[in-house]
Formats: sequence, structure tokens, C-alpha cells
Amino acid sequence: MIQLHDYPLSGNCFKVRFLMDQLDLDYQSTLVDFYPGYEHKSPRFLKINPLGQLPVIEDNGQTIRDAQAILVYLATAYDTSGTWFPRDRQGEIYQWLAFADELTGSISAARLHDAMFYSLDVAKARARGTKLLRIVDEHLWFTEKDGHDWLVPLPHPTIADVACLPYIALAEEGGIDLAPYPSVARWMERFMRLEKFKPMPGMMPLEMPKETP
Amino acid sequence: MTSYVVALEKDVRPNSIVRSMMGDTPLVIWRGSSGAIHVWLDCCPHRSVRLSAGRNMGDYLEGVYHGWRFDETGLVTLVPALQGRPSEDIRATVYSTALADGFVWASDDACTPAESAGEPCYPVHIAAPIDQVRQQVDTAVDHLTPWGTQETMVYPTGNPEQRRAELSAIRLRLEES
Ligand code: FES
Repeated sequence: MIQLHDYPLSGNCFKVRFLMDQLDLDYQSTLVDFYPGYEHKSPRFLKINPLGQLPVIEDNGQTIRDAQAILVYLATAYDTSGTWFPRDRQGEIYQWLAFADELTGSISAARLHDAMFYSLDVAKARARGTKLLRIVDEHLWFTEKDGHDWLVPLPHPTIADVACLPYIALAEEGGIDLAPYPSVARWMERFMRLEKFKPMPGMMPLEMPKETP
Repeated sequence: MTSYVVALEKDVRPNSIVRSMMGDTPLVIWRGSSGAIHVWLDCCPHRSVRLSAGRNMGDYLEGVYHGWRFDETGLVTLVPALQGRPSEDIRATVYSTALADGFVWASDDACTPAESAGEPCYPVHIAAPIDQVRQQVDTAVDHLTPWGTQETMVYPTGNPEQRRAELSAIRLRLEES
């Protein structure tokens, strides 16, 4: 069975849990006390991931770290439908996976500063986050205009959406207002209405009415 | 009095909630099952939290914390803790609203949309006060709404790709200066 080193308040761990639920995979979560315990920096955990970051999965004797890499691994190994990481759209998808890393470095950093008292240049993190949000909002506005719902214009979501969603949905916990990005709001809503979606704390506590707008 | 563009009409969909601003006033915008679009103060008369954190259930908007129900006129029709309606009338703050040219307009007083031309397109958020933005854009085709005192939302009309490029250039100029 897949082992996930997990932390409920981590958006990066959310991505992995979400995809494993979508793929109906059995997995076991080992909770790591990220805050306030800093267990991810403990010698025991550094042996599993020398970068001291979550999530990490262990599967079939392999240890894989980095949320985006894990998404690629899981989709490649277990997605029989081929919709989460379609072969012919991998270039586009990688572009959004890299974008998701930038979201971690900006919006998620601002959230760590506000919610978990990390010391870092929060004004810079927010400014960068705002720039990124404008880019996604604009991208989504134009894809919606062409009748598409997802980051990669296909009739279904891909791991690009999974990788980008959590830190955007959590932006307000980092003091970044989402109100100026209406297309982003609609995209998040579509995502949260997907089957088997389980919100993480701070994301959106409510079960939405099921009919899609 | 002044009327503001507060959203694109097509952005306000059934079962969802849109947030916007009118000057310094935060707004919650929702479309009820009657099809009408409602623009209210984004503040619950119960405990002053954001109404926009709640749910649009079609016939009513539901407060996120204590489940108060507001019908399409803004009237509280159910308080779960009271197992019924409150004895006196409690209401959301409702603004006068109009639809014109694909925009949702709102005002403190009677809402009077200005003339516009063409198809509304991608709204652009500029981190500069409205007075500065006003000097840069043609207000006959771009509708401006102040977001607080330091930011502005521009609702342009015309060809989306072209207008977006123009406004991005203006945004760059204003934000970098
Ligand atoms: S604060 Fe709105 S229902 Fe209580």
C-alpha cells in the first residue's frame, strides 16, 4: 500500500490526497507534525527526505518527494483513464506544474508567514502572488470564453488543476484578496464540485449545491 | 448619483456568489432562482461577517456561520436557532441594481447606467487610485470602479485581446510609477 507522509494543513499534501482519492488508491497517511513540532526537520524525517519537505510517498520500494513529481508519478502509474496526465498535453501540463511551484514560493510563503509565523519578506511574496493570480485569472477568462473549464483546455481536469488549486484557494490565509479574480473563483468552484473532493481546512468549509453553474 | 459597474453580468451565475466593491463598500452579488441579480452589502446583519462566505441556495442566501436565510428581497426568513423567523424584520443592506450592456450596475440611490459601446470584456485590476486611472483611459468605453482608495477595477468594452493589451500597458505604467 502507498505510504503518504502527510500534514493536513499542507496544500501540497492536499494535492496528493486528492489525486489518490480520484484514482481510488488505497493509501496510509503518516502524520508529520509540521507546525508547531517542525518534525519535517527532524533527523528521522530528513532520512526520508533530505530537503525536509512534505509530502513524500513510499510505493513499491520507491521514495518520491515533491508534490508535482508525485502527481506525475501517480497519474503515470495508476491512471487507467489517461485523463489526468494525457500524453499529448504533457508540455502544457509541465508548464502549470512549474507554475504551481511558483505559487508555493509566493502565496504559500505568505500563508506560512501569516499562519505559522515564518520570517520572510511577506510584501514581496504577496506582490509575486498577485502577479501570478492575474496570469491565471486572465488565462482562465480566455479559456472560459472558448467554452473550456480547466487550465488545460480539455473536457476534464488534469494534474495541472490539481497542482495549482490549493495555494490559490488558500490565498486569503496569506493576506491576498481573491475578490479581483472572478474567473479564478469560478474555476475553484468547479473544482470543489468534483466527485470525491474533500476540502482541507481554510479552503472552503461548505458543501456546495451540486448543480454546476 | 453615481452608479458603478460592479461585475460582468455573465460572471454572475446561478448557485454561486461573486464579490465586488463599490468605492470602499464590499459587495456580495448573487443570482436568485428568479433569475434576478442581487447586489448587497457584504456583511451579515447577524454578526457582521462576510455574507459572501455563505451559500447561494437559489431561493435564498445562507449565512455561513449560523445558517440565517435571506430571501431574494434581503429579508431574513429563517433563523435556525429560533426555529423560525425572527419577530421583527431583519434585512440585508440591498443596493439599487440595473443591467445594461452586459454589466451589472449598482448604486446607493437610484441606479442609472451610463452609455457604453460594444461587448464587455476581461476586467482588469489596477493597483492605483481611480483618479490616476481615469486620466489614462477613455471613460466612454471603460467603466471604472474604485476598490478601496488605492486600487481600481476597469471594466472595458471592445475587442478583448486588443483591450487587454492596452490596459496591461496602462497598468504597467501606473503601477511602476
Ligand atoms: S453571522 Fe451571519 S448567520 Fe450568523
